[in-house]
Amino acid sequence: MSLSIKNLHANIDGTEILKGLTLDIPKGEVHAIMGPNGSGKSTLAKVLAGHEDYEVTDGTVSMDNQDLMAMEIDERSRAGFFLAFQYPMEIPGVSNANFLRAALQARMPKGEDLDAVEFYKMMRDRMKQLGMDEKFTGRAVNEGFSGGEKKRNEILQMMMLAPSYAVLDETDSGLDIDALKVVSEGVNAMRSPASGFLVITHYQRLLDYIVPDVVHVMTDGKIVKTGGKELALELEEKGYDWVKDELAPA
Amino acid sequence: MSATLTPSVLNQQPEPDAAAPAWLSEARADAWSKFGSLPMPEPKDEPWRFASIRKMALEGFGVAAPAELGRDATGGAFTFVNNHSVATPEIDPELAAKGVVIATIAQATAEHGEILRRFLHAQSAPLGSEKFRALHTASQITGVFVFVPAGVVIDKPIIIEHHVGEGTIFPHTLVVAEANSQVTVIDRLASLDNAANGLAVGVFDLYAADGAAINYLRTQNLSLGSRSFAIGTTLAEKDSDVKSVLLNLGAGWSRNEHVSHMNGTGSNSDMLSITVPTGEQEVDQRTFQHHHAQHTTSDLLFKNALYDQTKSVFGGLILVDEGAHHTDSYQTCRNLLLSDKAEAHSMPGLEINADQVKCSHGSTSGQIGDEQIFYLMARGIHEETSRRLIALGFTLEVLEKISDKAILEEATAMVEAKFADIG
Amino acid sequence: MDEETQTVTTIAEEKDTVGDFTFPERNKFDAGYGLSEATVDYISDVKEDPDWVREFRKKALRVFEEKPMPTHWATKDLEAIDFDAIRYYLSDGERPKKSWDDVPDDIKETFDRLGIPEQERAFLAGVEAQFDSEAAYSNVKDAVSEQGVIFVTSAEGLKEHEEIFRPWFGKVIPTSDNKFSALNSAVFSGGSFIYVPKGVKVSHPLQAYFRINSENFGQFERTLIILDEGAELTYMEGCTAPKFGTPTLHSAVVELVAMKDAKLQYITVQNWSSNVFNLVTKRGIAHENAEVRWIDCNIGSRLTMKYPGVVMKEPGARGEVVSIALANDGQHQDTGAKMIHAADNTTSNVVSKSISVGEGRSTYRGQVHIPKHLKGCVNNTECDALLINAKSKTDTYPAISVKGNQHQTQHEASVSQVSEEQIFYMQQRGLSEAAAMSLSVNGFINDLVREFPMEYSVELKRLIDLEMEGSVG
Repeated sequence: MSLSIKNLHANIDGTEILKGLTLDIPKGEVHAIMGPNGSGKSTLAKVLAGHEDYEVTDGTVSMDNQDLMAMEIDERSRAGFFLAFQYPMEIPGVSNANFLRAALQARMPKGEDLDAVEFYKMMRDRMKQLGMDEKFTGRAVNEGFSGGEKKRNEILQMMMLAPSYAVLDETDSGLDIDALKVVSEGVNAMRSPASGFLVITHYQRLLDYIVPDVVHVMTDGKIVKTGGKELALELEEKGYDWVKDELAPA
Repeated sequence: MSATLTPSVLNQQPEPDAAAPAWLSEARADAWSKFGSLPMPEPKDEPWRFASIRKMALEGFGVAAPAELGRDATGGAFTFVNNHSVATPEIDPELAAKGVVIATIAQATAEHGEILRRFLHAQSAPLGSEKFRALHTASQITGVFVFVPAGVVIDKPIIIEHHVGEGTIFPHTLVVAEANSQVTVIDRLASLDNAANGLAVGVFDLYAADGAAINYLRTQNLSLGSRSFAIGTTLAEKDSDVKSVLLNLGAGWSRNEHVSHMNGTGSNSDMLSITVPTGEQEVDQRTFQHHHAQHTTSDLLFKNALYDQTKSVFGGLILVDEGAHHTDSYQTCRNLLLSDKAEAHSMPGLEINADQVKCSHGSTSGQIGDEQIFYLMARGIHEETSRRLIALGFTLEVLEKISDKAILEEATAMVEAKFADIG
Repeated sequence: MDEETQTVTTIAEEKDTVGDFTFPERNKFDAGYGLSEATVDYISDVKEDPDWVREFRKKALRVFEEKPMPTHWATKDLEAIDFDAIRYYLSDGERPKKSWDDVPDDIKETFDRLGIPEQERAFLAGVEAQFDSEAAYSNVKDAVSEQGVIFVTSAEGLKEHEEIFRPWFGKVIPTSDNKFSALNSAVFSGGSFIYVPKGVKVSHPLQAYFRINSENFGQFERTLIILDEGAELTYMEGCTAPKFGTPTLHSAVVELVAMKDAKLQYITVQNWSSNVFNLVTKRGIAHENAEVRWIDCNIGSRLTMKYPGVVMKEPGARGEVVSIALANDGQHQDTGAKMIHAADNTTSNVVSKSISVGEGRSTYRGQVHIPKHLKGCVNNTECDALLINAKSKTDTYPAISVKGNQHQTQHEASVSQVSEEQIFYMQQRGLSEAAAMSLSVNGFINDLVREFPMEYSVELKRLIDLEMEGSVG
């Protein structure tokens, strides 16, 4: 069972960003993608989520043998796909609690209602785990939250929705060391044979805390190198140009 | 104040100018007919709501006779007294070589007629003073035409001074900034002395082509018996940026109308104003922020600090056309009422026909808080001074949005001077 | 997807075709089409009006005829009203009888979707047998009359309790206030006249439909509520379910009087069908330390023009308007507030939130007036508009006049929309596009919906969801 991306081509406003990306993330593993700015990392995340600004022109994505591209944005989510946004949205007037309830309720079989008591207990437990103050439940989603608080909120949502595959888009940007640790603990707590993770990051630092099984390097819309966790350290030392040079025709 | 026997400018067709080209004479004659056909404003007219029309009292102003400035003209400034040019600075030869035109309108009519006529009097006055705009066009106007060709940046601000004693003047400022050019213009309007009562029917039109930037300051500090109209239009094309500041410190009765058209995507207009009336002054301000294209912005901030028995009226409209998505437009009018006889009327308006817009308007009217006064007095400052300092701070906040040094300095100095007078 | 079937347009069509779902017309009293002095006489005859009321009506008719349509500031759509094609008085002495089986399934489903209680459904569908409004009305009437509360129709109020109501009748809103208050003053019938004695706090909200009699769906309702010193009352009119097959012009007048220390709250949920012109004049007078609150929700009608107002006549008086408006295709909600400060230390507050969907237009018009010689008045106005689709429209035209340095006013207005990125975010969490939209919209009006009594707020949220459905995509 895996999230299997084959030869994915996608463009926005006619400009091609993903140029034949192939990647396989089996359940139970944590993969990391690193790449310079403009390599298309965030685009990959958005295309997998189904953002309408992007057009997929070739390739396939299957999630546990289901055709992901054939599903609507919300269908993908309910089928087990989660995206932790790089820039989480504010939703005025909608409390965090109500939002999560609505998301969980959407996954209930028709006619069944979410058990409110269980829901609140689970939410409070998770918030405690993440070091989040209980008063966040009543506040509007991400409104007035600092960068770090927003990212933590993304992880809270991920924990509550328990996805099969989660893509974390530059989760570490804007976080100080303490927040980074807390967020990483949350992610690590969810590692299991039942879920696969794709961690997109520019900096190696996050990978000290969320240790990946596999590291991929992405440049110019494609995966160009794959290796173990040491690859991340090598990249940090030598920079992305090193990869480019390595791959350049001799 | 002399008992003038010259007929009111409202009743007498202006003398034609033999030296004027045909196109201009025709435009003037047509404008006079138009002036005659339009009715005087009435209280029931929406654009004149809350205005004290009877206070306008425009009948007593005739044509201004030439007069002396009474001192040396400010170095480097275009100076006009009673509608006649008395000092014209030489244009920097380097700028002239690049095709820059900075000339009096009279000069420009003679030497740059072809460019001038494309822009002169091309705008209308949709906010209520159409009749007075027509009077202006029909009359002998004085002022400066600034034309900046593409890519030229003019560092030094262009200074224009209009002075009026008794009678009527028609100051006109026309700025045309071509693509990616930049220019700063400072326009000053003052009376020859505090006893002389004049009428200024003025126009300012600011054209910013693609990527151009215009910074404009207009200060009005006429005598308390004077009247003033300032009818202005900003036209902002793609990615251009126009920042205008209007300071209203004088005149017994004044009316400013300013329209900004955000025509091109990415364009911006900042419309700022500070008004500090005293005695029985009435200041009437009407604005219009019209967004025609996508991704345009505008920001209006007007602050009025009202003393004695003064009155201010503010009517502003933000209109976002269908299809002008991703517009960000703001309009704020704050009134500080400093006496129990002061009056403020605000009508902030929005008409939104597109979506993906962020628009807001706000208007507040209030007085100085007791805690604020207490705090200053507790530091040993006299009550009167405390009030003045707070009111000054209130108005100067508007200038925080100005980055142009010349404008910032001059505006700050003028406002501080006005407050010092009150104190 | 699914059972999220009915689009707004389909419902709108049904709303109008229900007019074909006819009652057997047994109109005992019918003034015929058009308006003249004869019409007014007919009405006064049927109602057995005292002479002074008949005179009042006739004077009003003359004022109505003289006044022009206010199209110099209001929408030109008003010109579509054909005064000659309207029946100004129609009653059949009895309620129409129909059986629940005759009600079309779609209507039944609307009621279901909105969670309308069983009793109300029958009533609204014009079915008498299963809902005895007269009985419900008499029960409530008995309960409050023990406290000395008078709760009657306008005709009864003016006839049987002249000494209480006449002093205020037509004083809060003079006949000549505007063309439509004049019209109402000429042909009014139905509506509630309520008097609450000193110190009596009515615990249960009184509702309009409890006292509905044969003059249903009051076209020209006239309401006058007087609260004596220290009294308290909440009154509710309207309901969330669309009203079917009603006449095309509703022109009501509501006058409220709150004496010293009284508290009066008037709640309206308006959902007339989409062909209706709903032009209402509503004003309250608040005396010393009294409070008048208007809580107003406008969802239906082709055009609603309504500017609830409060005159704060004595020191310490408070006025408040809380307004929610939703304008969909073909609709124009033109609402606002008028706050007139006429004494020291008075406070007014306006919160207005509007939602424009499809090609709907919502307009806010406000007036705040604080004259010279007063001290310590405060006004806060907040109006926010949410645009849902590319062609949705909204306007805001407030006018705030303050004289003197002893007051504080604040007016804030904003326009925003539910951004595409917001919807994408919510969809990524598993919410369908429609659910995401409705969550956002409900978030926008959340604070205001809480002002409505519980039962209403649930129905309101569902009603708004229903209206939003057609907007997506």
